[in-house]
Amino acid sequence: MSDAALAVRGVSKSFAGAGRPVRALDGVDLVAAPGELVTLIGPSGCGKSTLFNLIAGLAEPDTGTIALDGQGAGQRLGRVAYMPQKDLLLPWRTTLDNVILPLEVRGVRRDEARRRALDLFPQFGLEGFARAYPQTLSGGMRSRAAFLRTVLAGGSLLLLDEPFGALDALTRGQMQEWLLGVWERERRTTLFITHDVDEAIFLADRLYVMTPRPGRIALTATVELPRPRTPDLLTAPAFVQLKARLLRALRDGAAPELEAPSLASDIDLVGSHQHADPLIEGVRR
Amino acid sequence: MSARSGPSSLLRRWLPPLGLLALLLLGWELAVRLGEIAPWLLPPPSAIPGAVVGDAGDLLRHTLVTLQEVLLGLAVAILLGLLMAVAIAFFPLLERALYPLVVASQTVPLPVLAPLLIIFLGYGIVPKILLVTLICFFPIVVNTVDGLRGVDGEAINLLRTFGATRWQIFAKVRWPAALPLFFSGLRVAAAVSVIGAVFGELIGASSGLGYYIRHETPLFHTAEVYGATIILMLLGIGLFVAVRAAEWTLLPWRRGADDRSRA
Repeated sequence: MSDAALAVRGVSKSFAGAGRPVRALDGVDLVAAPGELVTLIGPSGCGKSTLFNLIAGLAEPDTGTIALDGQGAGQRLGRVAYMPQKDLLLPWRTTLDNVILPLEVRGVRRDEARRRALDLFPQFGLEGFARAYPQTLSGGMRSRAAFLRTVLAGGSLLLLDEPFGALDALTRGQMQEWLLGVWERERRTTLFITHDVDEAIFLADRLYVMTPRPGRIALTATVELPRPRTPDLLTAPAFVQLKARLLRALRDGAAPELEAPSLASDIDLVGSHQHADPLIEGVRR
Repeated sequence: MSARSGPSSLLRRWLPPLGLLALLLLGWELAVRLGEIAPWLLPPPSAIPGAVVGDAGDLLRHTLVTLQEVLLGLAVAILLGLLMAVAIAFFPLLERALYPLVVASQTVPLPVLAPLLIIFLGYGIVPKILLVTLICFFPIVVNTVDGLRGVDGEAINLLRTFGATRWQIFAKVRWPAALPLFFSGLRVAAAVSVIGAVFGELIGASSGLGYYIRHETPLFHTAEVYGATIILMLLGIGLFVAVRAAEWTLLPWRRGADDRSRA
């Protein structure tokens, strides 16, 4: 998989806990092809954010490798566009000056950076709010501003860490559709963390289920639901079946029993036990 | 500043302190008159404005001297305070070396220190500036250190993922995040700054309001002494308000933050 935009191979990471080290990640494998939208779902404390910090280059794994665009070596800081859980908009900067921060860091002149950002304001639903301070924006607008900042950070890979976690259900639904719209236009490789099963399925080309203590990949699935996706999908049989499997995997905290092809659906699932031997469940109607 | 500060809200804000002040002055006036207290012992408040006007030339000259000492002392305190705060916040060794001394500097009583400084440095302006600096740099250092340290570690990590250097992280996140606390420290410093200058002037000087008070007291010009004292208070309040105004101008994003927390 040398052509993968992101290839995480056998990554483990421990932290010093009270007395003995705590194993946060244990042999995690994860792949994202160029342009793919991959979601990673797991309960709180399963090591998702640790994995993101490693991918972003904020820390190094104890064992295993992380390759971006096939390159396993070298600095990852500055190459991955990372959107943390909190929007982290700086209160002393206007919305416009917040989103140009990554450009400024890279040495782009301020007026040039502002012009480039302003061009994207309508697309991100921020028109007319360039000079507003973030504390005056709604939750959804703050999310979109943080996302615009992430997009402007460049890099081939977008890492989104529960970006809509703090939003109410309605706003969250709107943001998901909006995100898909942006993604379908830009086709940037995206890795999206969530603890919301619906969100994980609704967005994904491929999804990974992670279970805690230590963080392991319990299930991998390719989601071949048609795009563009609409909210009706949330109640479609294929969606519901996949959801049931994910919930079971999350509940068991391990790989579920893969069922026989009696599970009629128009999705193509690739499940993989954590100890490899990928099973292909080629169930098509 | 906002729509809320109309005449009625101004009234609501200033009526309680001014009303209380008027009541206290009235009580003072009545006590002096009804108790037939000698004016050299305790002048009635009504006698003070006349005394100030009668000595206006002298008072103005001395006020300007004191103001100059205070402003220079504050300027040195700001420079020194910021340098120390950055040193303490970023270099653990300097923190261990410096912080205890910074605290210790505040435990030396001014009445002990002031005469020593005047013995070392003479009757001129320098010891007064030093005394102002000494009491002003402390709140600036302590608050700014807290501000520089209190920055959200995640914001710093975000900047790192953009590929930011340490200097960029300081300039774009730590420093602006610390500014509100720096201003809190500066407000405290401004309010107490006058004390240092007057102490120096009381001990040894040939001008300044402290010198004036010391000169007038043995003459039992009590009303003039009270007048000078009130001018000193007004200087402190004026400096405090000036810092507030600077804060309002330089930190536009903080405007209304206090109104919100008060509401």
